[in-house]
Amino acid sequence: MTACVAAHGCITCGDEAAPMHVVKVDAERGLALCCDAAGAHSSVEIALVEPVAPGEVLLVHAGTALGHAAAPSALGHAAAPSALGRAAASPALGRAAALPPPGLPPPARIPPLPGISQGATRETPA
Amino acid sequence: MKFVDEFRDAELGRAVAGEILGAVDPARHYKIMEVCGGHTHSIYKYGLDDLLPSNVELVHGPGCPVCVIPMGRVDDGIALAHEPGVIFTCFGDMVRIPGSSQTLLDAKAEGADVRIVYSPLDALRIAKQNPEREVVFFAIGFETTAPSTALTLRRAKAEHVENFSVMCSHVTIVPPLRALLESPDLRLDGFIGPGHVATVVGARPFTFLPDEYGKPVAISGFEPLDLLQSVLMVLRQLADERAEVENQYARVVPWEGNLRALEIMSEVFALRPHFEWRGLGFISQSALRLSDAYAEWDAELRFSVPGVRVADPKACQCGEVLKGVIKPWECKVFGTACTPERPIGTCMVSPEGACAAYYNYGRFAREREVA
Repeated sequence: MTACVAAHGCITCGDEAAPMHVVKVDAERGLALCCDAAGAHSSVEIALVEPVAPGEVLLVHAGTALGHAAAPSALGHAAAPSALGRAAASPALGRAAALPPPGLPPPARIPPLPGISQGATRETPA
Repeated sequence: MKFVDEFRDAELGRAVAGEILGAVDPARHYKIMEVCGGHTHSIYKYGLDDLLPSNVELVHGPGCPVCVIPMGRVDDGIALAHEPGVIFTCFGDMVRIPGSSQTLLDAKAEGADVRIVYSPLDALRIAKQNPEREVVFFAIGFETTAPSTALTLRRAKAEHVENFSVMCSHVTIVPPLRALLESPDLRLDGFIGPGHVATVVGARPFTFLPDEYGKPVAISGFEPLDLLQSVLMVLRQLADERAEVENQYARVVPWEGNLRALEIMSEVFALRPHFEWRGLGFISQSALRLSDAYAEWDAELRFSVPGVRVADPKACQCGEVLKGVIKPWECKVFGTACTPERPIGTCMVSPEGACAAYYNYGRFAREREVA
């Protein structure tokens, strides 16, 4: 993975996260060998997303996988903009079916978290 | 690559741009803030600004991790780098951020052992390879990067790596957004939410934007179609007089976030009472320090850190740029005294900074026509 190339800047500083294919998993060490879009391989910490299987796509930032990229078929598409909806239905643009589904699960069912982020949302700046 | 190529389809992009045109009220001027610097970068890299109607203005937010680090904090890092026996590690863009008298790159030229790492885990590896040296990692970034630092510290503790420490400058995204909304000099209609921060914290923490301030939000991915679709979602909420959090980036952002990441962050970090943001001043409980359980690895406790507050150069208007009050080209030194090669302000250093994005993609002399 390109990390800190002067011409493009540092992707870690830039808060970027890159989708990477899992090639091989070392569950004992909590690492996975992953491949990015340019074909570069790197070792990725998978403690936050285990279990992980080869072939999956992970979202990787600073050498750490933050999440799985979900298969589009597992998601709803009810509120997608109509242009995207049309394209998704077109055989010529079949891959556009991976376009993201707007809409969220009802928030009321999610209990409050004790974590840092929850605390931060309640704070009022000076 | 899957999840990338399909979101760069030009034909679809033009189709969504057409829908955006149909969703706006020609008599109204829209100001939508993209919170994340990564969004700013993508908008200008792909020329998305040119696809939007002239009455839809994108305002650039404070979500560039490098840009918001105040000068005094950079000086603290440089002071640590000059400590005898220290190997100072940081991410790539940080070495070029100007301190009050020099950059980390200058310190390296003077003999300080400053090394660029891609991940905090690389810094830990350097510590294990150099047990006779003290290795300090300058941790910056929002909630996207904090889990990686937290995992590294957990490993350092488990493996008893005692010559490793972290100068923690991680920040959180919600408090500065509140500060911006409380600011009287900025009127915003809606937000493009930070997709990668939301991968960690979830979409739920952003509900205060619609609930308390009546502002619509679309949590967005970073590819061109992601951003266009998010703009459309915000415009449609405005047209329907709705205000809610919509998750355009649902392929990776869960509503409740990454619970394991939040758990480990809670273990390793604690909120600072206040923290200085470049351009925004002190914001209470907006940054993280190491928790008491990890105090042994806190570089600010292990070493003497100056901790002096330093004012930004008078010519630099990064603060106004970060608040979205002015466009980068409205700064007096933009593109003249301040360039990516010789930056004065942080926004020109990081490619995610609005100034660098404007400069690198040819917006430096352009004034948008606004209604």
